[in-house]
Amino acid sequence: MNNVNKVSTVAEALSERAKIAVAGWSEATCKSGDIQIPKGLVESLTYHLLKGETHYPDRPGMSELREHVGRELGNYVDIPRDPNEVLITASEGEAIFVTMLGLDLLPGGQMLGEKGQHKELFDWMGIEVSQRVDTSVSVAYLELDEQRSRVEWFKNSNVDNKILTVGGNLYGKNVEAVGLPSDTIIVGSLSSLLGIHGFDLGFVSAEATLLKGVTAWKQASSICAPSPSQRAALWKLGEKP
Amino acid sequence: MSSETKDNHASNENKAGRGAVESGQKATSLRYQMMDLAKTKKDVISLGRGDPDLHTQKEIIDGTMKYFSGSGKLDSHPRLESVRGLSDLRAKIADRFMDEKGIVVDPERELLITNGAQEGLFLALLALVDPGDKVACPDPRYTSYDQAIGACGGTIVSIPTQQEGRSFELKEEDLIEHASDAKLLVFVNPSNPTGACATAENVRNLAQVSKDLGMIVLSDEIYEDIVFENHKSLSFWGVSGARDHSVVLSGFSKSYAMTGFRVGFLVGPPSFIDAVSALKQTTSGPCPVFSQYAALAALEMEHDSRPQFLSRYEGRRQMLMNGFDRMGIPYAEHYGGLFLWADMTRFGIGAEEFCYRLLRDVGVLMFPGNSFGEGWKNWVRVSLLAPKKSIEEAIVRMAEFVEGLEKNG
Repeated sequence: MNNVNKVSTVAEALSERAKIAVAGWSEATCKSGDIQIPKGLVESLTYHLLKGETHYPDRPGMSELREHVGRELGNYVDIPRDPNEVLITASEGEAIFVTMLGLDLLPGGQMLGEKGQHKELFDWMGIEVSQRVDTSVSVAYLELDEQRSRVEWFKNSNVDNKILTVGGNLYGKNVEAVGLPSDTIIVGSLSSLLGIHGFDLGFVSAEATLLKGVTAWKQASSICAPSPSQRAALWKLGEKP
Repeated sequence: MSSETKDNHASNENKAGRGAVESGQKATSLRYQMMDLAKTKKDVISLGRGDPDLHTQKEIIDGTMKYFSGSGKLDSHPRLESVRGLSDLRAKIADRFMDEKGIVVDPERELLITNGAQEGLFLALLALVDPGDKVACPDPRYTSYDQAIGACGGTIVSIPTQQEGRSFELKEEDLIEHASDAKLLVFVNPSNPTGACATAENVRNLAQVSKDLGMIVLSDEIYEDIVFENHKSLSFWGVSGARDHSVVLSGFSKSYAMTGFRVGFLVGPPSFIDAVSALKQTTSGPCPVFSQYAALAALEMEHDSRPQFLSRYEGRRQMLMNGFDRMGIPYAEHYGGLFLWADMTRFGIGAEEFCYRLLRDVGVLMFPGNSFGEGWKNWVRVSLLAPKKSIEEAIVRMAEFVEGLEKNG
């Protein structure tokens, strides 16, 4: 512990986690503005923006969107999730981030599983993810995209909390994970709904009391996901205009 | 510091790690509980939350739709999108820093666009605070700082800001007395919840003292465009020699009434911007492009909406102050931001009970002071974010409530 950390410049003040993040960082850029947007979506967004949807939405996410996601999650757990058990985030990365914080895994937390595509996040958060069996570890983590063969291991792991990351497959053909324990925490992305870069959204679904803690972190990290992104997702799900 | 301030401040010092998280979440959840309760009632006048009620200008909405070029196609000029934000937007923000504040900002190296100022705050603290670091924060304050500092394992050191009389100001001598060993100072100017706005001299003094103490400053300037009575303040980066030991946080939500788009920004030295960009790429990715187009439109509006908005807030502010004066309710000296900070001590029931009964009995929502720091049990935060007609009605209802309170307890 360093209780007196005197610094004379911001550069000197950078935290260890910031240094770790910078060390592994290569700035990604992509082209925006070269994709066809459905005309109906443009009309829907225009309609809702002019109606006043330029202000904060419900902090956990628009209720209709949470209802849709909750219903779809019935493909993974036995019964659909209640909207109060769904939180909309700005991206899947943020969904993982606030879930880790909600489970109090920072810093020095441990999970059973493999780091997968969120390796960088876990590294700078100081979260150890390994397959070693340790009775003190209370969280199991599985990324469905790459680890379908491990679903049975995941279902049977004897831990307090199970986190399943479904990536962008919520509304896809994937149902390999049917029959998950009803208290599984499910995290994913809604970005593939539209397939349009720039409308990124993520979600976390968990039992309501646990989700309340995760939501508190979501509020602290960026308050809520942008209204137009949520409206675009709803449009794709058939909520017109 | 007054003796009353010492009492208010006493229970609010040095929260570390998990303690900071818990106290921050408790205070924040108190505000949400009040909002949830208000939703269950009819005909509530909300003077609670900080979401500007004014309409977002049509030019901003048009700017968003420009991204789609109206015909269902995206803008025909593809741009390279970086996690730092659109180059055009960063360049415009830098231009405004120069035009309005005379501050040079390198848009490529010293600016990052964030998902609202809240994300900027969180990322900045993640980038600057290590476990065990002390972080000086004003008391009272917006308690989301506490959660972010706690998440980093930092320890919050509260700096009292109540001076003699009704003035709330973060003074350099209080910083020296209470937090000379802090690594970082969170400076909020204008203040939420007190409405204090530092003078240019005050900002310069804080810049000098923080530099002498070897302390980094995170200057939260989200309410920078909402300053009353021609009060002259200063951006922290406007102080000569301050930029190498400070970062500035601001955004578009409050100035342009466009909270739903979630566009904020951080200004800081290149090494800092590199670090927060890396953290942002890992957590949330770039701010949505259409939101950035909306922000760009705000900066390019032919008729800047900020003076018009300020004028409307000024009318509401005056109306609230007059109403409080008539009821004999004292409030903090107010020069900026969207909230009045009022002292309900004389009613003898505490702010939480006062706000609860005010909502239950006459349907007016305000936030109790202890949702901005444990010590502020007799103060309330009152927002300017309702139409004049609603504020007028809220004052009538409040006067009736206060009269009943004094008569019957």
